[in-house]
Amino acid sequence: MKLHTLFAALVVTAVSLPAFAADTMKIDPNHTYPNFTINHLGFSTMHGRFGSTSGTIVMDQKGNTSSVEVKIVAASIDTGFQKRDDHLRSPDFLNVKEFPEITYKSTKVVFKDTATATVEGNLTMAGVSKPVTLQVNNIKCGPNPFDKKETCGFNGSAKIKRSDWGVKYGLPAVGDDMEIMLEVEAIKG
Amino acid sequence: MNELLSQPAVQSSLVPFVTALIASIPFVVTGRRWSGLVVAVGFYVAVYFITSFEFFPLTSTRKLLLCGLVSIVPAMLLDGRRDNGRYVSPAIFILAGAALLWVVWPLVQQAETVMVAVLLAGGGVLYVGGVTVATTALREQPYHAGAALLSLAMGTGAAAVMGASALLGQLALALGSACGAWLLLAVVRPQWVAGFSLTLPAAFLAALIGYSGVVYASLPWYVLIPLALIPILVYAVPQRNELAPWREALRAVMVAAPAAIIAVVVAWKVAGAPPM
Repeated sequence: MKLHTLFAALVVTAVSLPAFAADTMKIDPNHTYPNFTINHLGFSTMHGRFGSTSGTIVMDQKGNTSSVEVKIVAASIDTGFQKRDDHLRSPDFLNVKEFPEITYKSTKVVFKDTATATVEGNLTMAGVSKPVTLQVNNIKCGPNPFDKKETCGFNGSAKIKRSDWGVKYGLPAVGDDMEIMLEVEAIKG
Repeated sequence: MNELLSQPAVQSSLVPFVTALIASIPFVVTGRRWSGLVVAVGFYVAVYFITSFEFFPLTSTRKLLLCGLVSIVPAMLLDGRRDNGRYVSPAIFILAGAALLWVVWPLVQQAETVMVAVLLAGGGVLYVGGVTVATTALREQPYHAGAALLSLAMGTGAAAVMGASALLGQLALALGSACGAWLLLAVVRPQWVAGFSLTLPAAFLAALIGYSGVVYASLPWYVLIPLALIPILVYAVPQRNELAPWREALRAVMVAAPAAIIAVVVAWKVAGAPPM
């Protein structure tokens, strides 16, 4: 009797495990865009984005193994003006040939509810790593209506000072404060 | 005053020029030896205003500035010796090349093929080593050395700005301004000797900045060709000691400047207007 009970408990546990397992998802580079804004000479706010992103997200809303790892190709920066983009890629700013990747790696993810979270992690840019906390909103997971693949998406944002990463050229004419927005979609499997 | 000193144009021109002039005062007392150090003083004071003298993380630009600083020591040692022998030029070439490799090593490591890595490294060693050695050959001709360095640094700076790196451009223009101050002082005090103290660090820095503009920014590599010819062209024209110092200096500038102008025009045509 006791053996049957034990066996039944094991079967139930084995069947239940997938429901609590974390989902490892690959960032969809075609629907993921890191964006930023920065003040230009006090006259206007300049917008830019990076066109090439990859990475992995582990979604574990019931546990504590969630993580975010994003890799951005620094040379994919695009502000809509080629000459400015070339300047931003140069040693004056991102120095993309020496530091080809900008990375963000989480150290802690705390879900406030099913749609919002706080992600603590380290942003590495131009060879410098500093902690940055992302405020994540609009977390939504479900099957993609077109290919039926399990997809999760969210918006993340943070404010940083570029001088903290040693990107100081043009200060204070080009602003120090930057707002970073990460629009992410990730696909399971 | 702070607002004035934060202007890039002031940092690259007035600051190194005036600093070099002020730094020359002790050499009124000490005389000819090591007078080239006024260029290093003017340049690195400008570097302080441009980059705040931060060295970490050790980026390629910071490595370049460190290499220039270190090069002052062997330059002073060489000027302190009576006879330097025939191995000095090969040694300068090798050391300059090794320093260049250290600066561009991250790119050499990232090169997609061995051929690209070899071209990157080899081209840099040839340019930086060659320009440095060729310019040190002018060390006994103060007006020619000053004119060559003025044109080389100014041409490198203007071309680097076209090549989408205002920072590298600023550094080279600051070097050119300091060299201009030295040339002015040499004209006023004809007993000054260029020596290794002027030619080695200044040529080495100008060459490193130029090559960094090619590999780290968008400066076309062939812009370096006319720049590399500057010390050779100036060396090919014998110094005429019978001319007044200012005339000889002007003559040397007129030989060196066209090559620098060609480099800037080519950079402008290919890379376009400076980033604003």
